[in-house]
Amino acid sequence: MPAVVTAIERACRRLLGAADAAANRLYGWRYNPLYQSGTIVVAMFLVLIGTGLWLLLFYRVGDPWGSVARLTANPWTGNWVRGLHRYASDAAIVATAIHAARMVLQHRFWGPRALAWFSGLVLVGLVLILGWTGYVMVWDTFGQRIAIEGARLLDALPILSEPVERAFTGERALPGAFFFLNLFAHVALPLGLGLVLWVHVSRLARPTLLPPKRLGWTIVGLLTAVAVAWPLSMAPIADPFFRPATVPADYFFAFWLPFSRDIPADYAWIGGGLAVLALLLVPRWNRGERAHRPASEVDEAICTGCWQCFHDCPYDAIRMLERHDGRADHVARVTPDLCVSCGICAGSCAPMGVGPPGRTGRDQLEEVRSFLGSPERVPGEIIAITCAHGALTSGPALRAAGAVVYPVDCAGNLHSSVVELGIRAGAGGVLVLACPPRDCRNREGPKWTGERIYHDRDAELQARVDRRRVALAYAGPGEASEAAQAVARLQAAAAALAVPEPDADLDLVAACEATAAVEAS
Amino acid sequence: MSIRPLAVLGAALAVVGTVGTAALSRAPLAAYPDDSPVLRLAWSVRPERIERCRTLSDAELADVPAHMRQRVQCEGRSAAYRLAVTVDGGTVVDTVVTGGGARSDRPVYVFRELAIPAGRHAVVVRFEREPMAGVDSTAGDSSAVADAAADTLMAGRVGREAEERTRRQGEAVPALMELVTDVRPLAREVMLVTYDIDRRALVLRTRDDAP
Ligand code: HEM
Ligand code: SF4
Ligand code: SF4
Repeated sequence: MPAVVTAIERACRRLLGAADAAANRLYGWRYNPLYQSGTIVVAMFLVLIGTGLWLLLFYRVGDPWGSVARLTANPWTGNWVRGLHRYASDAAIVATAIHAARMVLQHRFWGPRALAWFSGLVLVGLVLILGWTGYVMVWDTFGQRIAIEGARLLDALPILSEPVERAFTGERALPGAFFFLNLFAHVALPLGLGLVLWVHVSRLARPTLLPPKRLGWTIVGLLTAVAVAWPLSMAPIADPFFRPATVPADYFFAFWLPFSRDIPADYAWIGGGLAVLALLLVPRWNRGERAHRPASEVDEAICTGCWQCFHDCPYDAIRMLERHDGRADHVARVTPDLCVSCGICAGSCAPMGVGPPGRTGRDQLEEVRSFLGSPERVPGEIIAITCAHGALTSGPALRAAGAVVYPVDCAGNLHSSVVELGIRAGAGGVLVLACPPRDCRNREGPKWTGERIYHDRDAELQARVDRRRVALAYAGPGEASEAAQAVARLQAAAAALAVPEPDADLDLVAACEATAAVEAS
Repeated sequence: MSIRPLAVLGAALAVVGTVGTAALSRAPLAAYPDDSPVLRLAWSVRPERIERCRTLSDAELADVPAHMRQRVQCEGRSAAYRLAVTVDGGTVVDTVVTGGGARSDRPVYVFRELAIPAGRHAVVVRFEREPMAGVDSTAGDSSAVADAAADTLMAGRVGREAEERTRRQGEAVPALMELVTDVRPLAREVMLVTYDIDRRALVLRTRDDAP
């Protein structure tokens, strides 16, 4: 990639990290709205459906502006519902922009994720058209302005024999059929939206569709409060014989108007088309990432058919096939076209028989062995295992706090025997620093790692490991002080214990295989 | 504990974000930066069909499959129109417009928005059929129209064909329309020049006589 792009990307990533860290401090990672942006959009859709059905009861295609004006004049069951409907759609746009920006900066768009990328773009297009039809429904000066601009753009395309623009020239009154068609689109589009959303998350196992209740209701409450405290008013009715200097506009849905307004429609299409094309090509431009991140593979000679990787894969990329060679009933098989190379399966497998090439449990053990064997290691020190996408950025702060940093690709890939080996080698403690769960770019890494360390999920951290010397903490990029505090806490806990005796004799690979064999039988 | 100031800050930020979103949802946006009045020309008319007609002989008709027989056969094309607008004597538009479609036989659609200064102006809008080389008749070659009563082969069809041609001519726009008027628009006002199908003429409309 060109150096400029990389530099811009790095700067944006730092900005996002700082914003995330600030929001974590204010609201806690569980309720960080930036992490929850995708699910907030879905929650807003639900609000829009609810308020929209209510508003529909009062809307009249024969008297669009008049019926909305009557609704707006009703403070009890009209005005604030209209306000909430409008603000929820704005919040959906804001949240979509944040969600899409996260996906871009976390490089979650190439390979099998391209489907989510494309469908996400379609969702944005549908939402913008939906907003357009919504504002045209009101038929005030703003609705008229975007209707006229929309017609001008549409008429530049060679699809309609009769120019749409004609409807708005004032030659004759706008027919009711126009408002009926517009209303139909406004009601039908959400159905399409639901369908595309289903495609959007179709590659994901256990998609998270809604934010935590507390966050969702807080947002709805805030939007309702603003709708009540600052009631909407009506803009003047549309008038084909007057060109207002300004119209009261929704910038989230009309941001394009100032750009297209003063240029020929052809240029607007070319500009918009090029932008969309560039967005569509993003996954293609990044096809090369596959070379660095090949799909996971199963070593069938090792697989005991335990189904754990099948359960843990966040992308449903693993199938279990029947096996007839007498070793086990089933064997795992990765579908390369679905595998994003997140590496989570490497941490699932007790006998270490699955994972992307070079990142399986066995590979991890080999790597950590040479790290632990280095003469620089000091017995009793705290090893901070940091996720490359998160806490690794806090390296200097961790070192300053007295920890030694051991970077891994993703804390969710981590095989628990790596932790065990660290303790056996004489570390005072092993701190696993994962990203906050909703920020994991591999979706479920921190969740599974936590369960493997604390809740006996396969491949679990063995009971023989002293839990007082192990800690799991969350720190996103930009959360250096949180990471350093976690080091200090583990240091304090370890200080209360005796200095550990190095004990690296145990053949962990053999031990893991033995455990897996017992469990399989 | 330091949690209280943070909680207050968090709540304040959430409120500011929500109010900011609401504010951007109802902020003034420049709709038409230019405040001149506008003379809007907007109409759609069926172009006149200019054709030359010929009566086929019985022998010629016999060669045509029965369902395609037409006693009077016409060739021609759709007219083009010159649109010319002057404001206070100065030409602001002078252009030729044709009907839509590959053969230009769809309606001629005129849509122009001309910014003019506020105040009193003499406006002339002229819409005139362009002369077309090689074709000079619009009513059809009457000498070629067959005597319907005497036609044995086509029975009543000849009459119906003639009627159909006359109807099409009647729907078409007059060969020349001219609107001469004085206007006195205010800033941002739109004056519409359009085709009145009942009067078969160009008319000026303002908000006061809007449909
Ligand atoms: C307007 C509506 C959108 C909604 C409601 C929406 C919602 C969601 C949800 C709920 C998820 C699942 C999150 C999870 O369980 O991990 C998701 C994933 C995803 N979204 Fe969106 N999204 C929208 C737009 C977009 C846009 C515009 C893009 C980018 C152009 C995008 C890119 C993605 C990607 C790449 C994933 C998959 C993440 C992964 O594979 O780890 N989405 N979206
Ligand atoms: S690396 Fe493993 S867990 Fe991740 S998508 Fe591929 S098969 Fe699934
Ligand atoms: S986790 Fe390992 S042993 Fe279990 S099914 Fe997957 S590859 Fe086989």
